[in-house]
Formats: sequence, structure tokens, C-alpha cells
Amino acid sequence: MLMIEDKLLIWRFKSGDKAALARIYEKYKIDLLRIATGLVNEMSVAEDIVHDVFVTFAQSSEKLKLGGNLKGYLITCLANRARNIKRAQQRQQAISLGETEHVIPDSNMPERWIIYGEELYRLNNAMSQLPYPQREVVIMHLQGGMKFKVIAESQNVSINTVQSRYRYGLDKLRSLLNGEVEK
Amino acid sequence: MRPAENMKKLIKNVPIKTNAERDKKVFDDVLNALEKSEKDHSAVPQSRIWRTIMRNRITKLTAAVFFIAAFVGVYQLGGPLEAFAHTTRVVRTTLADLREFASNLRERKPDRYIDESNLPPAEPARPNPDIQYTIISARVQEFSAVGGHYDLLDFLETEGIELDPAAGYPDMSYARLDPDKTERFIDFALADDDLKLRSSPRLILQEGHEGTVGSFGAEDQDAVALALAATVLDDDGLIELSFSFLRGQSGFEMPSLEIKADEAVLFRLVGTAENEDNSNDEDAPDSDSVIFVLIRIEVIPPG
Repeated sequence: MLMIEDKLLIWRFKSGDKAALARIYEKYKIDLLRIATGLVNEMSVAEDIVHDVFVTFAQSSEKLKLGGNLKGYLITCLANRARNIKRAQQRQQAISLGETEHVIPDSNMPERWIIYGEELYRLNNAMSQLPYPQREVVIMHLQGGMKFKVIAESQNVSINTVQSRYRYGLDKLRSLLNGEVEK
Repeated sequence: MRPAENMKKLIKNVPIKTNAERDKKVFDDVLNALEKSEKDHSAVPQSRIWRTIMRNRITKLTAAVFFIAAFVGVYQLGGPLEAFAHTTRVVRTTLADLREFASNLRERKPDRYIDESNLPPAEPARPNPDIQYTIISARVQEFSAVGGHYDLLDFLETEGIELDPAAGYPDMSYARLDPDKTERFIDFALADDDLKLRSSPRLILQEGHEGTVGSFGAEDQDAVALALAATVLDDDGLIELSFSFLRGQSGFEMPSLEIKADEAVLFRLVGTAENEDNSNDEDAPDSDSVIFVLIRIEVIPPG
């Protein structure tokens, strides 16, 4: 993606322009929230991750490379955080045996950042039933628009592995969502 | 649509809304983090910013957009450099920065793009014999539309040219034009009083690489920049184009559009021509302004 606007935004942000940061936030907050909820299935955790990604981003103007892909950078930061949280949750679950994975336990509380829709709820419920590596590839490719090669680099696995995870993930999702998508 | 496509569409476009109050709170946290970070670090000297820009090839190109836009602005306005320092929201840099960048650019060989804004149409560029890549030549004609431009709308309807909305960008639409329609469009556009040719740059770039051009409108407010990359898909002349427009503060992206080599692409960009310095001026431009950009591609094989 050429994303000339993003290059300009990064350049302005690095020059200290707060309006550029506001634009970056407005431009990508929905995408990041969508991806985060798909990855972690818990609204409050997803909101925290996106919050932290933007806060860290705001503090990192010095380190940002002007030629980089802004959206890819934000999504990779988010995916790394989500992966760490999943690992921590798995460790926790290993300790408290028998506990199942949370599947969106939060309701639409007024103080919530995300206003949950029925479609998002159903999709994320299906997503939560995929093994995490497959879920991550499907979400990063379809929702994040990232190429398999870039995902492979970010996950430190081969591109063939990423493509297989994508295929298996889609097959399973298709069976889970079968009734809904054929409408 | 097949179920598999429906599912991908559902995953890609599942609707999500946010709470406005929380939005504000989160962004306040983000701003606080930025301010704290700025306090912790001393201000970056300007010379260091420029060194950072000039070290990287892509950032040089990004910066080139500013310079080219500025150059075209001067050319069209016929005014001194100072005249447009305050006229655009895009070039938010100081005059000193711009001069420093311009001096850097002059020393640089223009190997990846050639800007010929506002020059008479030139003969197709000759490929550099040292480069064994396919060369892509893109002729860009940028028209601003005045008023309702009803004659143009009639013309498009008569020709059967339908502008499809670009995915994700409601203010951008496009159409592929065959060679005959392209010629007729150009004849019409150059003769129509409602359309004004703002610039006609030519981009010469290697296949797979990115080229960038930019221009200012005559009203000195409306800056447009275009980045383009092209890949030849097969021997029959199928080309994949990636477009990225920047108009004022709005960006428009089209990452993958396949066209035949003899086709052109016509874009319609709807924007808001804001006038910051004269917001109370009754003579300020109308809020909606439309720009048409016609792009014709020529593939020059290696050798």
C-alpha cells in the first residue's frame, strides 16, 4: 500500500504536530478495536490493548521510521500485546484447571468504549473457537489487510505455515458460521 | 456472491461503534502520553529531522511531494516563495525547512520520477539503457470542476461512463476508460468551461517502484498529491496499479486496480476546499470542490 497520507501523518507527527496524532487515532481506532476484540474476545481486555497501543505510539515518535507502513506497525504492536496476554491467560488457566476460555462475558455497559453489535458478537464467538494461531492469521489478513509474507515475518514462521493456518482457520469458520453467511 | 466471499466480507466489514465519551478520554490519555514524552526528551533539532528525512529514500520521496507542490504553487501563482507559506494546510513546515529541503533536492539525481507539471505534453520518455526493468510512464491530467459541471455529467452519461465508488472512500470514485473514450474525454475536458486543467505531470518510474507528484490549485488552497506504483501482470498488457491520493487532509487509497495497457483511469475526488485564513470571507470557495484526475499508462519494455 502506498498510503501517502500515512507517510505525511508520520512526518507531521514526528515534527510534533498533535493534529496528526489526532488524525492517526481517528483513522485507525475502529480497525484496531475490531482486530483486538477478534483476537482476545474480551471487550475490556481489547479496549485496554488498543488504549495501550496508542499511548505507546504517542511516546514513540522518535523511534518511528518515516518510510514504514503505519497501519501494519499499529496492528503488529497490537498483535504482539494480544499474544502476550493470551500466553499469560493460558498460564493462568493451566493453574486453575477446568476453567474455560472467556467468550465476551462483558455486556454493553455505558462506560464501555466499544458498543457491541450482534454481528460482532456472533463473529467473535466463532473466532474464539479457532486455535489462536489460526485466529491471528485470519484476523490480521482479512481485517488488518496484511500480506501473508508480512504476517509470517511478524510471527517468525514460514509463509507456508501462515497460509496453512489461514486455510484451516477459514474452513473452520465456514462451518461455524455456515448458516449465517449463506443467507 | 459465494458463501466463502460472504464470510470474508463479514469478517472484513463487521460493524463496530464506539462510545464518544470514552473516545475522548482515551485520546486525552494519548495526548498526555505525548506531552509527557515531549517533556522527557528535549526538542529534536530541525537539522536532525532533515538529516533523518534525507537518509531514507522513501522519506525523500514523501518530502519531495511537499517540494513539488510548493514548486508548482510558485509556478502557478507567479509569486515569491513566501507567498504560499501560509496558503496551505498540507505544507506545515517552515520556510527555512523548505529551503533546506529544496537545496538537498537539487543535488539529488531524479532517478525515480520526473515531474513535468504545467509543461507542454512531451514525447514518451526514453528508457534509461542502464536500467533493465520495465519502465512505466503515467501521464496525469488533473482538472478542477467549477460549479455543477452539468455538461460533464451529461457527457459521462452519454458515453456510458459510470464512476464506481472506491471501497472505503465515499469521496472518491473511478472508472476505466477505453482508448476512444479517453480521447473523447480529453477533448471534452479541454474545451469545457466548467473544467480547468490544473496540472499535467508525467511520472516515469520503474515497474514496482513508486512515483509521486503534487500540485496546488489556482486558488492556492487545494493541494493534491498522487503516488503511483505499477506492476505488469502478463504479456497481454494487463497492469496492476496502486494509487494513493492526498487532498488537503484527506487520503484516498486504491491498493490494487487491474487495467489493460491501453485503458486509462478516471478518478473523481470530492473534497472540502477550506479557507483557514479567510473563514469569514464571503468570497471563499464553495465548500464542495471536485477534481477529476485522468491517468494514462504506457509500458516501455526493457531494452
